[in-house]
Amino acid sequence: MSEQKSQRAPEAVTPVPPEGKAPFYVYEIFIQRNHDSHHEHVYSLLAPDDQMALVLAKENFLRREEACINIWAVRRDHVVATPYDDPDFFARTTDRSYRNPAGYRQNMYKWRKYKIQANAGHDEGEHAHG
Amino acid sequence: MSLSYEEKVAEFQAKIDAGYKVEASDWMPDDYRLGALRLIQMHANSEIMGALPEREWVPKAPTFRRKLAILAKVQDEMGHGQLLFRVAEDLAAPLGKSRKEMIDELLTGKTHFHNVFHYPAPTWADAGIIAWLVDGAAVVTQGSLLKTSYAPYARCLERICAEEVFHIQHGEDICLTLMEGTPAQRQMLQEALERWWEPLMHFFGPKENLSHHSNTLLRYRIKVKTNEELRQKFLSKYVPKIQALGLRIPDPNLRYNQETQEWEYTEPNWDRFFQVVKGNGPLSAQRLGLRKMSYEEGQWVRSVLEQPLAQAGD
Repeated sequence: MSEQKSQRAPEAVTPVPPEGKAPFYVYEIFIQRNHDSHHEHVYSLLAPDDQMALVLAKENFLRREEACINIWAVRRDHVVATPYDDPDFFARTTDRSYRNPAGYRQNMYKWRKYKIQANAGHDEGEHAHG
Repeated sequence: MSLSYEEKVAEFQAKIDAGYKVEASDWMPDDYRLGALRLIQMHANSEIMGALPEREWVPKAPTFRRKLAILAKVQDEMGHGQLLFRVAEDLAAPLGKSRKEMIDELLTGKTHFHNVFHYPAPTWADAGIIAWLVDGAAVVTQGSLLKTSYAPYARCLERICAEEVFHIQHGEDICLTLMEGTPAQRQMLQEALERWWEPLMHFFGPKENLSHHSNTLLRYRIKVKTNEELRQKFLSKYVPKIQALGLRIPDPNLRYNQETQEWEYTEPNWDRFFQVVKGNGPLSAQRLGLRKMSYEEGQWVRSVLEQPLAQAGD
């Protein structure tokens, strides 16, 4: 896996453990504030295992949050990511305005025209019967 | 076709000038990495060392609520140290430098911490001045650094600045209460301000041409404001408040020049500043001793954590 460095999260360097000791890992921490929200990345920390990562995440990031219902701790070397230095990955080669509401701005002008016409017709009708 | 080192630096500088933000995994010139690391390590050191003068006041805080508040502030500062050492670690990893080495560099005096944390805090009013004005000065600096070109530092500072706002409120509360107290309490606050004024003027560092490191930091937009710009901003923000409280600032030459739109002040003694940050301040050795003791007393916790455990999923 390690040769696919560009597929890994940024600066995914696993710290070298001291002789005969368990390694500490970088964990990326995500917190979810309520069921209407997605988990939000808040930062990272060093922890020796999954359980300590959750405990330290609470200490580091939830000292005064009013509400939190869930924490994700993800070892950074388990995250796959695009490289920052490959702009081609995100390059758009064709116009994609048809995918967005903003690509249909002409509708607004057309509706305005129809509205004016309709109003004009309505006014004429009133005069006819007045 | 591969670029020479100089060409890569020029390309990097052009990206910085165009407002590009640098991520930890990006290629960066050696002096960018070293400059950013030096700044962030100093900041991390300062958060940890900055908790110590206030920690002395946790057992002596005048009410239970104030004890909880100053304890929370001390805890925040240590938390900020944790965040900043993470930022520093990612910068230092390609240099083969670990967090352990950075802690050792602090304890042996190889890296420095902010001048203001080398001084004693003899009274409760000192705790108030530290939380109000030292943290106020820190927020002026850190607020400007939100625009740093080093993106991981900027993201980390967002959280830190939000918490510093509480620290300043906590400090203002202490100072306002003392000012509304007895003449002895007001006098205590006045004396604390007099003790802290020069360290506060030192806080932002000498004007840039005296310091050869800062230019690299400014050129790469790791820092976006000069030391003097930050000092001016601090004076504009806090001198009117200090005066409104009825405190006397111990500088007869301090005044705002309407023509130059700048504060004029007595140049602080910079030799003293350099002596202090090199570790020859009034309490430098004692505070580092305390940090070392606390690091050694916490060794058993780290030893427990370093015992290999079965990792879920491995």
